[in-house]
Amino acid sequence: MDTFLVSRSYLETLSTADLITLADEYGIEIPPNLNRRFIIAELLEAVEDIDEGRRDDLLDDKHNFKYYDELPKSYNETHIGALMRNPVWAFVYWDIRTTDLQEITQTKSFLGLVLRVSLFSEGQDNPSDSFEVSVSLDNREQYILLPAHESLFRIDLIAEFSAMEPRVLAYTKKMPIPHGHPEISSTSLENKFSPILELSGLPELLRTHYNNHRQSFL
Amino acid sequence: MSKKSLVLHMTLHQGYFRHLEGKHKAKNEILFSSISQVYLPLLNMFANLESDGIPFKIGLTISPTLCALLSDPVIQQSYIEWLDSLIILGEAEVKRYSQGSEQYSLAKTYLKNCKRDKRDFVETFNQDILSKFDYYAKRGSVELFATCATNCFLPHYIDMNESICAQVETGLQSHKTFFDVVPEGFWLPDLGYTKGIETILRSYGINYSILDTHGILFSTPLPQNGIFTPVRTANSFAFFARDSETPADITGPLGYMWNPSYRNQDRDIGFDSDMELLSGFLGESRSRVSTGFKYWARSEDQKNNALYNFDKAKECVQQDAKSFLDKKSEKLTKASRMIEAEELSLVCAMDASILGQVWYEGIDWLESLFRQAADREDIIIEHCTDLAKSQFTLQKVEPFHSAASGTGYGEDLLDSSNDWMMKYIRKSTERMIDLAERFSDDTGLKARALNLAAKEILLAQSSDWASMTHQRMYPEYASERFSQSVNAFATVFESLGSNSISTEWLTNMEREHTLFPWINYRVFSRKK
Repeated sequence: MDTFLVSRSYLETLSTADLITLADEYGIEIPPNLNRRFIIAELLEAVEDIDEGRRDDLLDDKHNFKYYDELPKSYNETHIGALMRNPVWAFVYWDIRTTDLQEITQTKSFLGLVLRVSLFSEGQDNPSDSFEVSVSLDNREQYILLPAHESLFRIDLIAEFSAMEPRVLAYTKKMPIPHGHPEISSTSLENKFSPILELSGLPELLRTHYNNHRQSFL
Repeated sequence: MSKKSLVLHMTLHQGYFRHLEGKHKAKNEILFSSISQVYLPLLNMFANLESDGIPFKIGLTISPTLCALLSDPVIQQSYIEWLDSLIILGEAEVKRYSQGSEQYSLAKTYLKNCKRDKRDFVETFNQDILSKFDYYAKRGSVELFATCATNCFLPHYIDMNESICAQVETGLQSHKTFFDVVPEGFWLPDLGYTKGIETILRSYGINYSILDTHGILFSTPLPQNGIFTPVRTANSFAFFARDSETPADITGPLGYMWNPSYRNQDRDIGFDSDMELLSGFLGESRSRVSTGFKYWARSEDQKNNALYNFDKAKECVQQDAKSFLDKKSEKLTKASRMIEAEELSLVCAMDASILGQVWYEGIDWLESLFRQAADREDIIIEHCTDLAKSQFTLQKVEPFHSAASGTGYGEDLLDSSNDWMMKYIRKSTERMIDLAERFSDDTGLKARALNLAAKEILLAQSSDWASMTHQRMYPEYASERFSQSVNAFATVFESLGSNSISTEWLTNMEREHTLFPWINYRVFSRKK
């Protein structure tokens, strides 16, 4: 593999088995039970050594130069990303490396893919709640409604099997769910706010917010 | 008694459309009509007020992509050529109508305006209108805000701090290049805010920004003075709330712009006339575009058959400016009876294209606003900087995730029409951050290629493409431009892997996208 493609973020998407295979390609001996964090560090160090030897400038070579004029259908990486569309809807997108997809779909007991949404309270490592959304093999994106009362969320892309444990293919960072003032809720539609907030337009904004974002009031 | 201030802020932005030839050349018209209908009239208004000794204060954000275009000699020359073709069209229009008719009189006025625009641009401003904005900034009449490099909707990148830093740092560098200062205020594109952005802005020495109304009104704790005083975040970054009524005052269903005496901006000979008449103006593309020759007024009966009358419109402008000032003064007076604060303010922020393009008489209205405000004692027009002096005594709040588009959260920038862009731009951004780390000390051809890569990432991050796709405004063009930037980045990325590149291609790309010639790809580096 080209060292250029080996970055920390890329390595973190690989399974431990793939990391060991890659280390083997680079001639790195991995002692049994070595933590994946150390394998990644070893790989990055090896890549850095190779890059050091490549410090020369680029060659001007228009004959072998490849210009990309079409967006790739896939980056052939197992990866998941998420971002907020508004305070309660997250947009989730993912990709699965061809070899990973082949491996899981060729497993006889493969049931399907799910997105597991884990919800966290502030400062907690363990999820306070979670739910799953089934996704088809062809699907690569999904909008997901998040409960407004939770603080953080993480989404795992999981392959489920009938005869073995589910396999987490990729996961997002823990991301914050935006929070407004607690009084900005369905009950507050009936509330009386201070005259200055009323003059500022809060009641009208709340009505608009309720019409457009009913889910925020659940 | 509290001091009651009005802050007026306008955003001047244009996506980076720079096409000197080919099928997209007509897209330049978007910029050219903005120069003629908004930027030159604004500068002429400033000059009129200055020569009459009328004090005025206005906040402006001039986006880096617009600065790059306005300072580009090739674009400047194209604008002059566009004006020349408009003058030829105007002469044909004057000939088309018989002397003495109302259309003849309107055509003559429009022709005169085109000639005046050319004279102003070439002789008065020496093709350099940015310097004139800078002149008014240095006089203290204009407060310039900085903004992101390419109108990037920052909440979409909140998990990629390096990317937000790159947008902010490049935006500030652009501001410094064109206006020679690092400003205190920063305009968030589409007013996109989510928690954490203020930390990055503060780290660059910026002191304040403006949020959409609900960003402040839904904050925790609730703002005790509503939208009438700025608030500050935990790191003492100040936020002003935009007055939610101002856009509706102008463009809402009962807004000023719908007055039947005002010009109908939808009827233009560029769309209504025979192709034969327009052929000299439209050039090879023959795509119909707006010409500015608009003869009809908005009519109450929607029949659109009343001819536009400049004098009638002028009378309405005076009345509407008075009505606006009365309304804001009344709101501030009511607020002053409810709360005790030394200074109360209302921030009226709008896109400059609303004044001049969407509402033809908008700049005249603004001028009238300044003239009338100068004679009033109940209201004073101020800059944000005047009102942020007691920044460290403001109420501390945690503002709410908010934006000025969509239904208040920028949903139009992420929906089924444009969400396909996300995986490409976020993957490319991740890779750019890695590249900046890996090639931190490189020079020569590698650094040149990396600088191009950084520029293309910034361009691809512009929300203009998502917004145009959502609004179905040249959606194919927006997709093409987005893909072009992502592909250019991918080309550099793979070239760095194979250790070779075509300098011919690199040079062509640098010539095509001439913005940010000073860019340093290390703006994407992880901050240690």
